[in-house]
Amino acid sequence: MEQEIALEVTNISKSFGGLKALRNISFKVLQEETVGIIGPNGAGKTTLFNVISGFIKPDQGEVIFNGRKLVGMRPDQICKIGLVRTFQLVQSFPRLTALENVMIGALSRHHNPLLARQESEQWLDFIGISRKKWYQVAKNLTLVDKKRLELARALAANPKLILADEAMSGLTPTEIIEVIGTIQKIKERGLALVLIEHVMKVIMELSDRIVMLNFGEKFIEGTPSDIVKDRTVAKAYLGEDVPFV
Amino acid sequence: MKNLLTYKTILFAFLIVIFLFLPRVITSTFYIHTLIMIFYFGYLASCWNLMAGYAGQASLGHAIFVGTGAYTSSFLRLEIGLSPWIGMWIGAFFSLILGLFIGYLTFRYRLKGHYFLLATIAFAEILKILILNIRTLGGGSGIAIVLKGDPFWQFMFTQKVYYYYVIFVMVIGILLLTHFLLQKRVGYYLVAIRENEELAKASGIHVLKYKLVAISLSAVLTSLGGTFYAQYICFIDPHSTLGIGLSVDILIPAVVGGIGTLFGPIVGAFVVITIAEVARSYLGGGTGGIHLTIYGLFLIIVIVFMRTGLIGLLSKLSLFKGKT
Repeated sequence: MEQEIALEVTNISKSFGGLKALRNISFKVLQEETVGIIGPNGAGKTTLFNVISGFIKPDQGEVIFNGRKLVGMRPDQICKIGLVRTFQLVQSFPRLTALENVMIGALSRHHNPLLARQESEQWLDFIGISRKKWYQVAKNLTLVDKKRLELARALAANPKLILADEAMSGLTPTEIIEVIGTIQKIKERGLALVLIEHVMKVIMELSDRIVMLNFGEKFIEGTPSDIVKDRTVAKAYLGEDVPFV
Repeated sequence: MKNLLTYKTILFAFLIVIFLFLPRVITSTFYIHTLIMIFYFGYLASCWNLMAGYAGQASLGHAIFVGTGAYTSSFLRLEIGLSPWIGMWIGAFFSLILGLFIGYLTFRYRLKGHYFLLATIAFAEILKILILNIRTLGGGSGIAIVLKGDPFWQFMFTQKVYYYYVIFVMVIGILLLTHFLLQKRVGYYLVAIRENEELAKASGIHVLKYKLVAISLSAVLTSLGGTFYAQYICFIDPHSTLGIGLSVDILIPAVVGGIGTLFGPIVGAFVVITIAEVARSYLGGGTGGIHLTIYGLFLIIVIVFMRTGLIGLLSKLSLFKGKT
């Protein structure tokens, strides 16, 4: 059965000066699908997220999300139509409480802070931040809680698709297992997800499909088991005989 | 909402009553004048705080709005006899346009922090030099505001105490407005922009729009203060209403009291103006500048030892717990 397409990226290219950060990247994300983006450092993963979420304009190419063209839209507009991102280096509103952090996300849909607050409390419960931490300022939270907080704030904006940039970086193996559980719960709500991830265990467990970037180009695309079998992937990571496609 | 009668609200109401009746106890014109100056700078610092403290866009050119308000109402009164009670709103309108203009140019091109600060100084200096060279506006010698016609309609009073009540009401107004805005979505958005601009964008906040909201509000309110100053002192010139000295004086009470806190600017103004006036009246006549030295030393102490201002210190002593 043909599923509907949530996000379609077509021929995206972006250069910074002489450096071609992205070259003709195309891929699709179906509704309710989880796509993992992998690739060595500098492959262009975060640049790709910045393009999709409206933080930088591509030199060429098209991004379509639920039938709407995203190129040229501002990040806040893209957030409001249901595509929300998180950041590689964990971001928060440092001197606001955990609850207020999530409220900022919820306020994109509610004018009334009281409604936003009620909903944010539900999201904090859902994401598993214990109630005693709700009134702590975000900068005092542990890394894993900050990562959870980012997801809670993203969810509070009621997205149809979340771009999560390294949700696991810096976490301990136990914390990684916990956050995988959280992301499974998010998947079950019917959201589409695009994950940038370095931890292979995470990407293998969560992704329906994997896109690998290398030197700004799409290197390979396939199911997790296809990727594991492909020897060139290992080569790209280890840095020998990297073939240009 | 649920606990309207918190001790904070009671304290606030208590202070209102105290200051309402204070001029009946203190009748010396020197003290009334000092109180007026405290409220005047507390008011301006609160306007500055709205934009710099909450939205995180610190300006060092706020005198431009004081000057716009003062010059607009004074000029209209002088030329066409328009009452300053009306002129102050026309001045506020010009300040709004000016604020949007400055805001759009600076925020659109992403001037932040120190660069935004420098740009605001530049705009204020430009207007100061322009007015210095416009003869109709008095040039360097300024405009004297002399009484003609009914005093009240002319926003002029024979006794200082009436000016005290006008600025007192303005202070209550800005405190209530700030408190009200903080409960609303716009308040959350301004603080979010201060805390993390990129994340604010990613969370659905139209950053440019809300920064413009902040500068417009601040400009309009500051401008009203400018008209008050012109009517109280009865004399304005480019130096006293547009100079960088004034811009600095506007931000000092907020810094001393606590940037981004509701009562910080007012508390700061009490301390700063009291010290300045006391030092001036007891030491000002003697060896040149000793009162300024004492004032300066005090500022250094506050900035070094109380990074979060006096309100920050008070909340550490848990006198003022909770969201400020």
